Amino acid sequence: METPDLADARLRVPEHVVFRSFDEETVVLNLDSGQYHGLNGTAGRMLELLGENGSVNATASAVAAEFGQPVDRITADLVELCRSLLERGLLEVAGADSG
Amino acid sequence: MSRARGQAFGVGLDADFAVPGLLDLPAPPAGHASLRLAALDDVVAAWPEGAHVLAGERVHGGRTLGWWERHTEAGYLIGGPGYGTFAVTADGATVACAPDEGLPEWKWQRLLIGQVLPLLAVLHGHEVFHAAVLEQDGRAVALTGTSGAGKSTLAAELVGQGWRYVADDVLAVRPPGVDAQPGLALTSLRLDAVADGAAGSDGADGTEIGRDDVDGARLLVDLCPTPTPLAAVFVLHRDPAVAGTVVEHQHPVDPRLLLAAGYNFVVPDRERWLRQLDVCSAIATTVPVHTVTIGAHARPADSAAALLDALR
Repeated sequence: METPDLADARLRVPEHVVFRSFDEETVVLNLDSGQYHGLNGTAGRMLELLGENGSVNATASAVAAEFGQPVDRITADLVELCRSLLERGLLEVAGADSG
Repeated sequence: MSRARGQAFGVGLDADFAVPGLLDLPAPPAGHASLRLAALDDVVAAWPEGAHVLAGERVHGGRTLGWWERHTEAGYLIGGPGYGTFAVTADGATVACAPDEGLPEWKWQRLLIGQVLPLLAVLHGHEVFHAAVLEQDGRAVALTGTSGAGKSTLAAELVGQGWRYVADDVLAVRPPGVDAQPGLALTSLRLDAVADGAAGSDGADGTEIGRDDVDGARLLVDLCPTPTPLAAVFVLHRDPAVAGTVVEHQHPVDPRLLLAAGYNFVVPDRERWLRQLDVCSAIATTVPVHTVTIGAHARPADSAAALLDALR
């Protein structure tokens, strides 16, 4: 998938995907495939925020503030995570961010 | 005609047949279900065509059926060769039970208790795991692990040391808590364990209600009658290379340890799967979870002592 502007995209967690946080891991279940996926704590927090606000940029800013890291670096990591989740059907594109 | 009323795995049950081990329990159940005896022909005639076959294949009266089927409106059809066939309504309110001909109650009810009642528990808002659950002093421990890992042997050993069963093979949890719901006052032991008095069977061998070479001996046992908070989960596996028994506290808990113990995955709705993750997450974050590696020559009494050390 071409995702040069993924940082500006609006994403959402599909209806067929559920996830919950464990101690230091988030388990994501794709109900369509029956496959479980594991995310580390930071990636799980990113998915949680993405599920709440849908904006990659807003999520990157929030995660950068929470973890005290540069926004650019977090954005790059988040885009990579989103690309991976999109490929697995664990995220879907909701539309372009006009802002 | 015999009847039975009681509660198991958090569901109130009313049966038009005897159910050994079914007790009337004090805590209010999460839901109710009626269990009715029926002829297999009638169960099959009432079951719609076009259900989703989940497992196996068999022929009855010229019609091909699965051993497990799911139908959006009709519910679930569950069969087990050598036991019987059960039709469960989608809301978990009614079960038509068609035992295979000539079987004693204890025999065909093994499938009822091992698969059908846990399915009812799931349909009534619980999550279920394969585990022996035992109680002492108001706290419960769950012993889970793959088949042959030693759950029943260790459970019998603990019973011999004064613990009581909450359920011999099913951990049923009603979220948001992590209390183990009582099952039936029954357990099973291998015939060799009964014969040689091994595996602490002296503590677990109440009244024997039946036996055969396939299922071993079926025994009535003392049951903890109230939902009991989980104090620990022990995930058992065998390793012949290990000397004795090794108990290791898991932190953080690998979610797969708990997810792998779940079963009755035939209920496909989103709410159920969220509940499964919620319960596993709640256990992982609030209940100590230990792996237990049992060596080839480990004695049950020593394994039990290792568990109780970890519990302290």
